[in-house]
Amino acid sequence: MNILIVEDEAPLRKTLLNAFGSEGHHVEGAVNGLEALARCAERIPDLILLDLQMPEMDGWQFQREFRCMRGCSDVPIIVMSATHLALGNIDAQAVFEKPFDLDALLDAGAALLAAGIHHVA
Amino acid sequence: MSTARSAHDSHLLHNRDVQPNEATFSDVDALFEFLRGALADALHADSFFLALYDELSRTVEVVRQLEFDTELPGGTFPLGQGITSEVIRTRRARLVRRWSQEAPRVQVQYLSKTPGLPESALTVPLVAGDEVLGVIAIHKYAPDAFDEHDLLQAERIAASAAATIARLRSEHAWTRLQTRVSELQSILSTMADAVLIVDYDGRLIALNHAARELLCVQEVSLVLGQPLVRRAWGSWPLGAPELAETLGPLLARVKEGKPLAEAQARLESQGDRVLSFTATPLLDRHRDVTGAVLVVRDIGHNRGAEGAARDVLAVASHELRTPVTVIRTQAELLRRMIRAGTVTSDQIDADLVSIVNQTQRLATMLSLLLDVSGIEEGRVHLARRHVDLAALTAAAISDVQATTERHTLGLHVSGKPTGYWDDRRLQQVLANLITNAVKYSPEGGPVDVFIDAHPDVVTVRVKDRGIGLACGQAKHVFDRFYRARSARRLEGSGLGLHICKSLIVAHGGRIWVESEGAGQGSVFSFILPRRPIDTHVRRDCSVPGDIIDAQKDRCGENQQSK
Repeated sequence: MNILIVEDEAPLRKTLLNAFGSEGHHVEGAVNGLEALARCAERIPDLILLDLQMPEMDGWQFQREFRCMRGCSDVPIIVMSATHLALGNIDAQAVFEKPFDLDALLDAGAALLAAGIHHVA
Repeated sequence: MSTARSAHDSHLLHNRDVQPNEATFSDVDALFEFLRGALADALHADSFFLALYDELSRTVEVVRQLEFDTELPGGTFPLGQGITSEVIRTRRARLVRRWSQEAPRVQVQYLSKTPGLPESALTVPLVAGDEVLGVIAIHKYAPDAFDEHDLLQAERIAASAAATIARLRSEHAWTRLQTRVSELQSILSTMADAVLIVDYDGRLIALNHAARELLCVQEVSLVLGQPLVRRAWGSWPLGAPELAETLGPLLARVKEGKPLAEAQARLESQGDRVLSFTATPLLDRHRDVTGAVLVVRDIGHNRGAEGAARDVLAVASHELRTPVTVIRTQAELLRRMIRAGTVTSDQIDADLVSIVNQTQRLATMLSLLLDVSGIEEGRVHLARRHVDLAALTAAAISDVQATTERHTLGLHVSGKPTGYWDDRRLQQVLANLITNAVKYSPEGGPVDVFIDAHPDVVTVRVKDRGIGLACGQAKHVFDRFYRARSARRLEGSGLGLHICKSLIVAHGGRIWVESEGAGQGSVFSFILPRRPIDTHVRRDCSVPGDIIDAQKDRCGENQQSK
């Protein structure tokens, strides 16, 4: 499965790439919303992990533009937020507040990917 | 001054032969009268002023000015972005044909019978050697009133006038007076508090750099003489009606002879920002009120200490989460891999280094927050000792240079910049400013630090050629959490500059930033008194008395000259 990790914090992005990669997925990283949109234009991922506050293009704006792309309205998004309070209006399947439990994040990712496959079938 | 332009050319022909006979000018008033005839009247100007410039305090002093033959109060203002300041900075005369289209906006103007603003201006620097001594300027309400021919004529006259001023300055009496004025200006310009001085009619006659920043008039031309209580100056960026309502009664109380009057203005247009004004009367020899000194403080957005603490907590809880998240996920991933037996010792080592780095980052943020909360509560303790600022700066530069190959850091020192300061705190300020200069010059390039030692103060300028500041940003960069919304990290939240400002202010100094605009680089400057300014010492030396006397003398001069 293809997973896109959108996170500007390099050490965190790298750790998540390793964690999901070691589960056998094909994982790519993007440092902001703009780069993420470019990746999605090349290949629509099966799951997106999305940070919210990023330079250039933040997670909210990415999510709005991504949902308008053809074939992207049902792709599951997991938001990784620094705070629940300032979540705002976002169309996501799950929200993890930082600092989150890595096992729980991996489980949620697996569950959403499984549901996605079921949905397509 | 006549408004007819018909005799223009014949006047100029006549004036070509008129050169100031230096021996005849015993003082600035005589020079002013000569300039009035040779320049203002000859070119049929509507208004005319002569200003002197004090390089040490970077202050412009309008010595005398006329509009339609009426003498208006002179006064002082710090170098800004207006036309006068531009001419001083560039040392080049400026001819403006249509001010409304080609020159900086004017926010404050004279009460005059003519509606609108002057459209034509001719501003010429008075340069002697490599020093700018001042400026002469003439204005006319009609557009296209002056041409290059007039500019040349004005420059010729300015050269003679500059020579006269240079000669007058070298004379004993002038030097003594000017030294006192220069001292006063230094104190005013160094003060972190915003100071405005008004005459009896409430007209603005002087303001310092902090006032210019606080009242947001940094980027516009400013004409002194505007009554502060006039409601019509709605173009002033702050809430003019609220200010007028506050200042009117305050000045009335001062005129009644109240030794100290205080008032607060709540500016709803500025997000409920609150300014506090303290007014002290200026008295002449007969104890009559001649004007007032207003100290203005920005006491924030109508929030108490609780609000400030909430700000700190909000940013902290948000920003501290990032390194904590990195540490936690890395540790958890490591554990998973160790359990699965899929990890090499090299990888364990690399991950642990990363975890340690993140804890270091947490520690840095925590000390930043502690600094801020200490500053919020007014706890800045300085351990003063004899410090060589040149050596301290050289060390800071070498630390930052070690982190970059794309930038060339240079140090330029004039004089011996030593003083009684807290070296650890100043090192913190220098490191912050130099790191910022590098950080905001992503293309690389030179970063230069200039240190100038003056008798009583030392100035430091950190100049980069980086991304600069957009118009209007400059006055906010020292605010707490200024960048919090746009910047993600605590390190970039603007807290660093806020702390720098607090540390410089604790030393009795002032910090500011100038930028020609986005992409034009920035210059961060601070000025430090070489010795602590202690209020008790000052009282013993009766310096405050001198200040008031000096001011009084100057007001007196202005009035006598009318």
